[in-house]
Amino acid sequence: MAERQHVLDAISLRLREVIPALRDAAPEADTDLRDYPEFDSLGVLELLVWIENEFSLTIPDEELTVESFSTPAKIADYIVARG
Amino acid sequence: MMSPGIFAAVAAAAGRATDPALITGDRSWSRDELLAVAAELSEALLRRHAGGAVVVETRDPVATVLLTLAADRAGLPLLHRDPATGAGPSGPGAAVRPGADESPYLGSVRVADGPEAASGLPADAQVFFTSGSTGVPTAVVRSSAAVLADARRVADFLGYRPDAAVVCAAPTFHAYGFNYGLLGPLVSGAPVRLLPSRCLPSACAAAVRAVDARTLIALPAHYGLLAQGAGRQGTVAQDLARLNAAVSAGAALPPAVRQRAGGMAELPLYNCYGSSEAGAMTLTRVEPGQEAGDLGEPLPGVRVRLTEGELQVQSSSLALGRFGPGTGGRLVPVAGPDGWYRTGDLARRSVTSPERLLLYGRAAAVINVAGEKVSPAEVEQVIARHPGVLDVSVAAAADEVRGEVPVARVVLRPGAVLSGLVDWCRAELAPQQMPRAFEPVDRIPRSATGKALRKPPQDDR
Repeated sequence: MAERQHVLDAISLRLREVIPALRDAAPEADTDLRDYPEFDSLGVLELLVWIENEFSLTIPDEELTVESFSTPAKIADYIVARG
Repeated sequence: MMSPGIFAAVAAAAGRATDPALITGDRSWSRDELLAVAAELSEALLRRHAGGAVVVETRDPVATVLLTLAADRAGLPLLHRDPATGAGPSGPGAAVRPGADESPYLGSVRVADGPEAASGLPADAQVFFTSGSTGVPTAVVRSSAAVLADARRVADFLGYRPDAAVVCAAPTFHAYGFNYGLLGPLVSGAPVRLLPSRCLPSACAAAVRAVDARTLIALPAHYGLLAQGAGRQGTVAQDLARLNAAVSAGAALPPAVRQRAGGMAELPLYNCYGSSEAGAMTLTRVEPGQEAGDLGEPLPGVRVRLTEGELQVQSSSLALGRFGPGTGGRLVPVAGPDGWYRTGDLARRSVTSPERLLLYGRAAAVINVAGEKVSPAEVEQVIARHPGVLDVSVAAAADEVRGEVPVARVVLRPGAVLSGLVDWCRAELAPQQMPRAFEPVDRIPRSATGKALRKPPQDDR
């Protein structure tokens, strides 16, 4: 079971790597990632592939939408619930 | 009632009609179940549509299958519209509200009210939208016979059969997913597990394992995601290595995929070269180190020729025609008068194995007219249909306001006059496609390879 703060920190770090606009200002837990063009429907999948590898888990849901993963907090909650 | 085409082909497929044929995340359908619901839906379509075209706008492959079967049984043309791009040339159309005693799948239907509906589509038409080179949706019209020929060609090549399941992660409102991930399996009796197109490689792998699939129909992006995770996702790679074919189409494969990054060495990757207009033309195994433009050999039944470097094809799966920018609201044939479809791609034959085709570019660059993309090849195809034209070349000329505009050089048949051609083009072409200058010439200068030299004519204004 992944610990929520640990997950949130890791997500934040990863987002700063992949979204240039977040490089100098870390995202808040409730930052709406849909504001960043990198975070389109494929961007979400790229992040989830990274999460699967990073946390050695499999995300079983078939319906993965940008809306469900629109903030770091929502992503972390999802990972913790299913991890 | 006559049941031509798709409904009959699915009903006659190999394997037991009560076995699972179509499997989604929440349920599975046997062929018998699909055909029974489709028969009900076809009666509902006939009650509600006095002969109009049916538009289906859905991401649900079950709705796509049921309504395709229903429209085919009812003898109504069907337009498959991409839900992401919204209204196509047909306009939004009136949504159909299912009655209390009718199938809810009727709710994915809209009644076409655009030019396609009015212009007399053949009763067995299957219409797919493609953004093409212009960025504006073009409706590609295929007969059910052409769609079935395409689906069967690929299904036979990939060995679809009742004991060899398929997983499809490509959207089924586009020709690729529909033909090879939905119709191909259904007419071959191969069970198909359908996934949403935005799915993770781990979900693809789990589906492949669950149905013991032999073929995966997916998008380049899926394989790109797989390459990103390949280093650590051992089980994903293992599951996908069971496949006979992991098929990609629609765009170039990312380099990391071509070179089989990480644990993808065992992935039996195939690239499908095709289009909505022509169907699948080649389906070739992608090997590490292979040239990016290697298309492989034409599929059985696909005839190819290279004319001035341009790849042209003939097959039983060519579309009838298309509607869209520059077609003047009419169905314009995709094939020329000689029956060959011009792909617009430049190819050459491999020196070591002449059956293999190597793609090396586009026959025509895009002309950007104030942001509107115009394909010179499409304009040339229209002009070439004029009976007074022997040869034509369209190129970009600089324009102070629009950036670029198309200009044409034409070789006229003796006795033909330019003014007649200009009026004809006004009727046939969209405003941005209309050449701003027509230069009559004795011949079109061509390079050593036969390619038209696209130097614009002298500006004589």
